[in-house]
Amino acid sequence: MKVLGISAHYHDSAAALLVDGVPVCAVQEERLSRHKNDAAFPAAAIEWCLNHAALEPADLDAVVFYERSMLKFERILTCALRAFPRSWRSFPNAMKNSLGEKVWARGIISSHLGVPRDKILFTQHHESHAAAAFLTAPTRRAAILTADGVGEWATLTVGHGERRRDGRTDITLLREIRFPHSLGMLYSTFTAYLGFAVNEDEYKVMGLAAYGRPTLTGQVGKLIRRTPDGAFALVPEYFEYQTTASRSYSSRFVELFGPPRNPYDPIDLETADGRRFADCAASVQRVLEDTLVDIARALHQETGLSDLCFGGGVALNGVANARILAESGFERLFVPPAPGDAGCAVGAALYADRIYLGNPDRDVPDHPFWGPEVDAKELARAAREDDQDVIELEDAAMIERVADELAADRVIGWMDGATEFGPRALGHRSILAAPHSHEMRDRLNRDIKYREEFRPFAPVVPIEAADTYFELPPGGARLARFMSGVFPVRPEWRARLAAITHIDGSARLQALEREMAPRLHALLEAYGRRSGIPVLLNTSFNLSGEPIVTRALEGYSTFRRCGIDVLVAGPTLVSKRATVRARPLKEDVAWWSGSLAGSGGV
Amino acid sequence: MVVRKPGGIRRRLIMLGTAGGSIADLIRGTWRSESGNRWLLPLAVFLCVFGLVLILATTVEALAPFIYAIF
Repeated sequence: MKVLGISAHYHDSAAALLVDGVPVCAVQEERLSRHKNDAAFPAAAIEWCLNHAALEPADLDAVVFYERSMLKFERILTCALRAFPRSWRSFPNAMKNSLGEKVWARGIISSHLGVPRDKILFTQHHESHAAAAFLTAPTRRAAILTADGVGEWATLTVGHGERRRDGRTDITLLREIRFPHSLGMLYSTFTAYLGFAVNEDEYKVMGLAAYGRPTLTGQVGKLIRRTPDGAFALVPEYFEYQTTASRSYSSRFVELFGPPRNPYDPIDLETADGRRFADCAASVQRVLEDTLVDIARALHQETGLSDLCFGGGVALNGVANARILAESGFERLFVPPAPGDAGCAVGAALYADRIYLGNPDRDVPDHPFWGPEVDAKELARAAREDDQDVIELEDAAMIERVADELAADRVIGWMDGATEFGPRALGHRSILAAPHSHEMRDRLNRDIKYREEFRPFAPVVPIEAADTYFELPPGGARLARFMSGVFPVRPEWRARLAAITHIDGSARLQALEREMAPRLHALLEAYGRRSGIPVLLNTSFNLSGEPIVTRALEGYSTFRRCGIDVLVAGPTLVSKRATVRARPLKEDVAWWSGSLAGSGGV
Repeated sequence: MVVRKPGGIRRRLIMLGTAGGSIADLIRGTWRSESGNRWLLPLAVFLCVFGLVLILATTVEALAPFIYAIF
């Protein structure tokens, strides 16, 4: 049975294909369209999935959309009417936005794929999150927690799931918290207030939080009221996201926290305003963590289960995940590699396959590499045409060569096999570097990633060595499998791991099993033989504002536009010529000389 | 190339053809919803039909003057 899952229209569109109950491929639209957080209908992603599996749309048994778009429309309409007359300005836009295309998901799918209407199914948004978290995890019974901005109405759900011995699958969502009460929207409101992009830059708030102190938790507490049943309610006077898409916070919010940050001003932690913004980030982070821990602890007591599967965009918050693992009572915490809306494509397909169609349970491979493969020949051809140094090496020689380059403080663009599904670079599309010095961190921020100074870099370490360098609680290595938890770097190693140690002594590490990425694992060991520490800095292979690279040519383009020294794809290694780096400077000089000469000056 | 790239007119006509099912989903979903919003159904259905009429106006240009004349 072939089931296609689709998520689209809000952020991070994606498609995923199941064949006989097992995912065979999945890819985000942004990786193919090259538009960051592409929300368009994922025609390219669907086409790639079908081509990859050599299928025609007519071969599909079901196409599953990840949410009930008509219920979402009902919510948007209800909120607009409740907020009348304040919402009169935003109402036409909201209707145009919804009725122009989003509510007609069935028609759009039908028009693109030509499948009959009865093959098009819908799951609820949080059912998709729950299935993506539970059915991809190596557990048979688990509690389930999902939390994000908002789906149709739900913003947070708790429940449990079971994969029975007889092959049947149960997913039961016991309770939900409904819009406008939303932990995701609370965090996004602070994201907007701090001058970052909503639904995209929430991780910057988490990074900034480490620079501040949670001195404003009292004020944040005024925005979110805890209810006697263990849930929470936001105080609507402080928010505007429920009435308009153009502004998240109200003037009362500004009275409470002071003027918002101008997105174009740098965050200077030496100034009072800079410290205030960092304290805001630290405070909302603390409140988010406390709330999630309380909800997870209550869920543990209610279900008595030892495993928790956590999905939804809020599950990208690695600091909160680590606290849930440490304090909620669950022994293991599973967060999928794509817990956000992109992962709902997989979740919707799995939910429909197991629950709607009643197909028997199957184990899902425990890795994130579901996207297009890199073509090393394409890289070699492009680099030779561009007059770069290209060499081809056997696997073992390549590992040794790259380890030498890393030990010489060179920065590596690393492309290997199929691309990751989800926002993390987990070793197949990564920029790798030595993790030892602040200078390396600053160089990466300045010359390669072109991003804010306060943002940390993540390490990758073989799982066997993870406990040596990082303080992992029981279950921590599992959480670090997909870089989903933030843990302390052991104090004695912080000075030698300065590039990946955040200001608060923590790191969002990836603990790598050999089976998951054998070449990167071998590279870590080879680098460890040279430096004494088998840890590398691992950041996503992209420039600021761009999606992670997919094809070899995109990797090559990125390599040429920034300070990466060496690019590797499979057996092909490209070194940047020193003359190439100098060329723009010469051109500048020539241009200045020419213009000065032409104007008769000097 | 397996995914169709239908023209705008054809795509919108298919959307119009499936709109009845989508509106039925809306009615079913809202009726069963715990949000207690059954009172909203007439307005929601009206807006959907209104949206469809506008889609029809942009799809079949010959009809557009007549449709816009209504408003």
